[in-house]
Amino acid sequence: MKGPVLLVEDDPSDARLIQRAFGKMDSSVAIFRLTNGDEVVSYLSGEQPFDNRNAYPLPCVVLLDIKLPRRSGFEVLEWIRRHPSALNRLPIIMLTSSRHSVDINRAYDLGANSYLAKPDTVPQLEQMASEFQRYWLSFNESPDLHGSPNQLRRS
Amino acid sequence: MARQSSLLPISTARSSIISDEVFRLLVNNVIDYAIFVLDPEGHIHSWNKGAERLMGYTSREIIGKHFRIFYSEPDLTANKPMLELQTAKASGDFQEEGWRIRKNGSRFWGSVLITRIVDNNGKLLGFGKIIRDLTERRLSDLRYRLLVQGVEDYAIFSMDANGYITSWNVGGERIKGYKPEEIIGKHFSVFYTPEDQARSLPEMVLHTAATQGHFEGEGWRVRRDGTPFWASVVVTALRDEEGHLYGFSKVTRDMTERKKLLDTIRQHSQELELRIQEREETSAELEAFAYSVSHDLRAPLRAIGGFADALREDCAPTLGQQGLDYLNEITNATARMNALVQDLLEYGRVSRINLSLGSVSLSEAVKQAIDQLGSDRRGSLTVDVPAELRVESHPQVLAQVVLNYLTNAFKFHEKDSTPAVHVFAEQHDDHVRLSVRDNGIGIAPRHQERIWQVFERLHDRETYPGSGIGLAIVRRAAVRMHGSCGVDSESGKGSTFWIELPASKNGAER
Amino acid sequence: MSDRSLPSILMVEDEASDAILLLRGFEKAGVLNPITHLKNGDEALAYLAGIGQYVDRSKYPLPVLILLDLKLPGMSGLQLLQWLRTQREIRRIPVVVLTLDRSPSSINAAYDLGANSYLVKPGDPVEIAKVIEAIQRYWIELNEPPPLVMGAKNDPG
Repeated sequence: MKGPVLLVEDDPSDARLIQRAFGKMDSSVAIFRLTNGDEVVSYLSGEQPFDNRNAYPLPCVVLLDIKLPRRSGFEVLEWIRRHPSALNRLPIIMLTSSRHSVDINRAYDLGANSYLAKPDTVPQLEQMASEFQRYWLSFNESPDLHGSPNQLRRS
Repeated sequence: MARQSSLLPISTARSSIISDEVFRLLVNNVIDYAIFVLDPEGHIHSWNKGAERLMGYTSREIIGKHFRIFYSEPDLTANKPMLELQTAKASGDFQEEGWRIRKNGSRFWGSVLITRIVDNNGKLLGFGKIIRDLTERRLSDLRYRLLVQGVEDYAIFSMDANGYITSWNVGGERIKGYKPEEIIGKHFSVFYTPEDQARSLPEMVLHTAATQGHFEGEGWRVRRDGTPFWASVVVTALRDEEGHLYGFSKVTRDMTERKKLLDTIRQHSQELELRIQEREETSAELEAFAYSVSHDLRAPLRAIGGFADALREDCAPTLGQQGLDYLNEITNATARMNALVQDLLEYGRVSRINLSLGSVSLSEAVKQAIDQLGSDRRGSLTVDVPAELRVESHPQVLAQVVLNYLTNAFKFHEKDSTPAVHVFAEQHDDHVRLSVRDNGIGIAPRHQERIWQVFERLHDRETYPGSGIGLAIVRRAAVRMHGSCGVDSESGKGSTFWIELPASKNGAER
Repeated sequence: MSDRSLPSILMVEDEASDAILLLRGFEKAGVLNPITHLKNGDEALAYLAGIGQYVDRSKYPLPVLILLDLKLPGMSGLQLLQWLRTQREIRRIPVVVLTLDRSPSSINAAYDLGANSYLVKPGDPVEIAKVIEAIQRYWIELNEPPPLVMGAKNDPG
């Protein structure tokens, strides 16, 4: 049983349109939205109010915006990749309106698995949601987030 | 010869090691010094090779003659020869430098030493005389002195080994204000400020010159009237042939005017640097602003467009035809605004500080632009861009330039006409010109400058849509890539837009 | 036919039969990007580093995506991945592991070394074509690749 997709998006309109696009797909995977960087850290750490892992299971993949209140997407990414547990393998996909090469390079350098630019139109968004789900939820093999952390992790 | 040697056994030559004969040969063969012996009355008693070379007489001609023939008329009138002998006789020797006369009547400057020769009983046997030709040195000394005396722009003076001034020129008088009689004999530290004197700068200068050969420096010095001036100073140690320090020469130049100029220039350059820094900060702020535009301005646009799409998809039946028409207006406006933001970002991108340039294939850039043209392309398009042409440029920015030209070339046509666009390029010397010619509506000469400005439009948006930024991007890009751009056009006769860029150095080899 | 102006995909695969199936998959999925097929890790390293016969980047361009088998003769896929992530110019190139190995230890190790994604090669040719199509749609069309320092700068001559 795969964990949910964690959508970290502060813009309510963007979040609603993305959730709508995901909702059109036939998928058993839930999408769970968070609105700022601190919340992601709390969620993944299992802190209040996310301390019930049955209600808030570890995600199988995170969709992460860059510009976020409190803690930026880059800071969240860095926090995850430096986490002492196997959680540091969690696939992170940036989903942002920035196509700045500086941002793209930084995301890959910090260990993002993929970088997606927010589409401008609903049909493009729907297509993106569809490809995303097919790729990450059915084809891609998820890492084991509960096992022992590996020493190989690149810094 | 035997006669000459009879008088030679003087003082030290009586050694058991060096025979009279050896000593005689030595003296006789010395050529740089005239060495000869006079009898007590002044008649020449011996003559060496050096004497023959210097004076021009052979020993046969001269022996027995009185040595007064080496003197000029004035010297003879003053009875100089006999006075010299008297001095040598009385005090042991006589030394001087002075003019003497050669056999051929020419003068030379000689360094002269006359030594008394006495026997063991103190009886005068005669005089030994040594003369060295110093004419060359004398003349160069004279020339040098005249030169130094006459120099006005430099204070040139000499000092003894302790720093006391021994000579003074007009430059010194002019720059420092002292007359020779006021300053000769004074210590050179009077030129220094009290502060510099207190920290022993004059001593340091002499020490440096003495140990390293010379001292060079710039600094404030004081004139006689107490006013300061900015001096450029060179102090050189003077050493005799044996290396003993006997004094210093000092050359001082008044650089006050130049110092003022330099200070002004330095101040200006500092101000300039400050301004550049401010400007760079402004650029960075602008870039940050452009970034904000991309994120913050486009977010609500996505929302407007997105929810319009969602409305169309989810609620079409309840909207009715009129509602759907309005929705289309919203969607179109959103797309237009998106394009505008996109163009502004592009404009910001080509204005960025770091645009790394390299060799780019022109035909590749044109091909890339044509690929991006999409639905704007209609009518005919012919391309004549030689594959070997390469320009110093930035690949994406160059493609953007070509795309903007192409978009315009296809756009500005009468409604019912068919566009025919021709892209061609040729190399002229060290630059390459790429042209995009169309058969469209053309541009009146009086508008041909305005079109390159941001947001400048010649037509209403409904007839020819667009942001009005495209050509501003082109111009900005051309400048940033060290090139130029322009248009040749007449109203109604089509336009040819061009961009010129530096050709890549290796272009011909490819 | 592939289009030389499109960015290329590097496929590192030693099994000849698998390679044929994958290449067919690309064809079926309508992928126009040129595919560079290399048979072992050492060759892939030489290609990516641009050394030996691969000096000319205009002939051997840097790929926009690497499909990497893990079990390779000589240098293993994981070793190649580990090396790649330390390279200044090319460290960000996305790497999708495509292998028969579905053991959790291999999957974890691949992610730990910086693999962007991990796919298991299906045996069935139809399924392979589906995977390839998903790769194409996601990594080539959807994903924003890291900007590579290519073209003018590395262009020799």
